[in-house]
Amino acid sequence: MSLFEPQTLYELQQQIRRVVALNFNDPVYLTAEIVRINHSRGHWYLELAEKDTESKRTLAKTSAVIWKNIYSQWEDEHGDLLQQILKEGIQIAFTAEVQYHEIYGFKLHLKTIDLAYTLGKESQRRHEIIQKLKKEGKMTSNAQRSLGRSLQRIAVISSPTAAGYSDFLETLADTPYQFRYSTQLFPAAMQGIHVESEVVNQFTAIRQSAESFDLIVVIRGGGGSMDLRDFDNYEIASCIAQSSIPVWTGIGHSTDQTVIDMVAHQYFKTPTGVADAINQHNLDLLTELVERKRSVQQLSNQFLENEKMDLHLIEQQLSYQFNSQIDKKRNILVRKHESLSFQARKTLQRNADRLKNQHQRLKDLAPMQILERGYAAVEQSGKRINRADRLKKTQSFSLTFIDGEIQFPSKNNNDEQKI
Amino acid sequence: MSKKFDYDTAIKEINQILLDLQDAEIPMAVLEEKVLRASHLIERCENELTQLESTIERTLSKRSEKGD
Repeated sequence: MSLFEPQTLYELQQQIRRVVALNFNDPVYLTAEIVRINHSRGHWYLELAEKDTESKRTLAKTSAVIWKNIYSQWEDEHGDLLQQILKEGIQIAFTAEVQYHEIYGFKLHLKTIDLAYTLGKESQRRHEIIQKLKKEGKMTSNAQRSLGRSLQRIAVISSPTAAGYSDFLETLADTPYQFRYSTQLFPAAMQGIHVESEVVNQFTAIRQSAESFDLIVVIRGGGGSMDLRDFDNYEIASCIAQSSIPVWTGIGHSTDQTVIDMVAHQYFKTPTGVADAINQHNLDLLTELVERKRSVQQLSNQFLENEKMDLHLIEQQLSYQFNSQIDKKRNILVRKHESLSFQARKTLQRNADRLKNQHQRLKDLAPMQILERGYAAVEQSGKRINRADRLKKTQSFSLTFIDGEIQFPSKNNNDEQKI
Repeated sequence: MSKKFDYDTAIKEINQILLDLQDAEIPMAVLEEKVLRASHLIERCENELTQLESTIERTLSKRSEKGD
């Protein structure tokens, strides 16, 4: 037991409150990261923290509030940029009253905010990421990947509820050429503190089936320029650099490039721009194919035309040669016919001549013809005597002349007898 | 089955007949027979040429029509 009466909790809290009030009379100028933020009835409730730059371990944490009237002043002062700054994961610089309440504990009541600090911090962070990527040779790795001839199988990293995602799908489908696309959504947060982990996880998932895709697109709808800080991200940029598949980005901004735009194969201002580029790429291929088809048709037509002309010439030569051959053969036949006729006539004439000769000889040898020429035939005892030594001089014989016969010796003594 | 007419064989035979006809001792009966045979062969050859000419003419005409 203590010698003193114990303090009540309220007394302790009051004591702390007084100490805080005495020591933090004026607002303090602080930097911290917004870990969590939400609003209710115009008031904004934040959880602020400081993390170790290397290990990211939380070193300090506290709650804070922006009262409605303060927030209204800020809005008037900074416009839309304010909403872009007040996001989880953003480092802010601000002035705040340090207050302690017996029930609500320690709390910072934000009074002013230094947006220039946040913007400068973001710019510095971005520069450091770019330098690191350059040093590691990751800035152009993905840009050097070859695009497929056609882009039809597309892995989409986006939020399924994002307007940009539906715009992307509608634009892809809105082509008169009826390209067939196969898109697969790999859902991931496109803003906030989960962007890095979810996008990196989806790149890992896509890598498991890299053969199934021609292209990876990272798309999201519009948003403020500070929303883009989620894509000034080293881990995501590394995934893109190491991806074997070309990565196109369309994360909805119109001015500055994010870091992932820089390392991507190509970047576009909007998801619609990505879809248009995919359609155009495929249209270029289609145009090239149509052109090639036309060239093949022209070449084949030309070839066929040449072949036809060659065939026509061959046909003419064939006809000429054929007719020439026929004429030659006809002439040969005519000559053969003439030869045959000549030979046949010649042979016939020869036979006729021979016949005539024989007839003449026959005629010449006829006895009457011989007698006519002055010869006489000698006959003795009924036989023709053609040799002198065969004539028997002691016997009678006859001499036959063309006009009569004389007997020797003559039966009529008056006849003159001579031998 | 009749043997198919062969133009070149026929020409050879005609040539042989022409040679035979130069023989002075060829019998008349053979002479007649050979002249008739040679005349027949010449006629067949002429027919063959006419037929071939007609076939080729028809074929080339068809090709020309298709070509047009």
